[in-house]
Amino acid sequence: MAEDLIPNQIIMLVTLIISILCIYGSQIYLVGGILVIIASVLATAYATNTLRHIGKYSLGTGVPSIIYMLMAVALVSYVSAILISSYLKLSIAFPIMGILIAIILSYIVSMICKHIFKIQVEILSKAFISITLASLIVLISMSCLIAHTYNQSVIYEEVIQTGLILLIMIMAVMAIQNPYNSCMGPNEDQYRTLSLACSNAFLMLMVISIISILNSQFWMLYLLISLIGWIVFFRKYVIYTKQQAASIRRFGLWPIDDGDD
Amino acid sequence: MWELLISLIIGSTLIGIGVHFIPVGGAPAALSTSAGVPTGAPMITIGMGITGILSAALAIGQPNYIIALSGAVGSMIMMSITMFFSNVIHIYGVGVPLASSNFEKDPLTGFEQDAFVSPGTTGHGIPTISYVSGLIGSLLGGVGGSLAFASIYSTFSTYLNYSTVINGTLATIFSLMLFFIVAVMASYNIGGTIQGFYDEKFKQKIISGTISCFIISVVLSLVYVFIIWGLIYG
Repeated sequence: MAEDLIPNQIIMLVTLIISILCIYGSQIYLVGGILVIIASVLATAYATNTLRHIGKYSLGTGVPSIIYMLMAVALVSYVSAILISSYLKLSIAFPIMGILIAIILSYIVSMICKHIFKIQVEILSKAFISITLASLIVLISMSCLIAHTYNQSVIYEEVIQTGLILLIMIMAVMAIQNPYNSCMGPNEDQYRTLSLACSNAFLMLMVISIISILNSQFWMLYLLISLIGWIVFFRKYVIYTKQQAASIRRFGLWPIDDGDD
Repeated sequence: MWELLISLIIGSTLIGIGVHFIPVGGAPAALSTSAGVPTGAPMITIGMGITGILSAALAIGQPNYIIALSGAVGSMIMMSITMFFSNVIHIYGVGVPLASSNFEKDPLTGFEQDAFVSPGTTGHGIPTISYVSGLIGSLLGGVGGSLAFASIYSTFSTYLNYSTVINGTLATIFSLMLFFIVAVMASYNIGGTIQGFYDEKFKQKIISGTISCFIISVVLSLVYVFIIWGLIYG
């Protein structure tokens, strides 16, 4: 793996702050959906970047399993946050409460992994918490795009009772886990993986914005934005791939020096 | 609520034990260099859980043991079809005999394994005893998942005034989450490949696996009971 060109801490800070602000802005007329699209793309990139770090270690089973488990943890904390905020009758507490519960649950899971399964990886707790947070933000922002608000009772009726949350979950798993799985290897590079992650997120948002036809009259606009975003980032991905494949394409041999040139 | 808590703990512990029975080969099995189902343990368990819970949902309204049986049969059918076609592809497509180097003699058929294992590999395909072990695993997983499904569904239908479809959707979401978490935890415990209950590795791993699955299911069930309590009284 080549060195990080963008440090993980910066991605984490930018994602957490901007996404939470964007989720709180999801009720705004017309702009709300665009803000939520930004939040979910940022969170997907953050989760994939953390997965690049934890995926180097062998945890005993494949890389996708981490995302499956942590996405389920995020969904459990999402549902409990909805219930707590509707018990408190305070819809502004929903995203913050979800983040708090996600941190606690993923910390318990990482402690079980460390002390019972004896997985000796230093960054395990930190990576598990980061991936759970990012998955939670993807889940919340995609369901905000469907419901067009962050009010927990509307989300409960529109997203959970209809079963759409399972669709969102599987799509988020695909968007987060596919880029690292398809780019991993000695020649793996941050820009290439993250551009594929962003293009995957836009691809999933195309489906979600078609589903949002139920609640928003601007679904055409969101579909157009997702389509343009997907084209832009997929073109970037192809350009990076061609750049880094050059040394193999010319000589037909795998580069000796981990493909740094 | 106590009833729900106990059946959730039993159900998810059963899922965790069932994962250990499934012969999993991982990526090496996809290249025919190791025996077992050619995918990771989480993938095959989640597929098994989805089919099991869907077939359990078909039996909504029947008594609880019928729901559990229906889920078990759904999981077993999915598992046996997967393993059968994996074997068909291995025999007629790749051209390798079904053998594993993890045990010397198959106790059911009595076939010697050593002569048929290619040098440099640890076996290929799914031998008879591993096939039976996979069926046992999917039986346990299906019973566990549909037990959780039935208990969550009956709690919802007793206390909430939603329609059958919404109750079924909520119960499906909650019981699938159990599969997602417990299956991955169990496969961390297995760590790589396993060839069913006749394997030496199974005897080393099953006790710690049962204990750890019990612990994680207690934590999960407490969270679940908290969530469902909130749904009912919140």
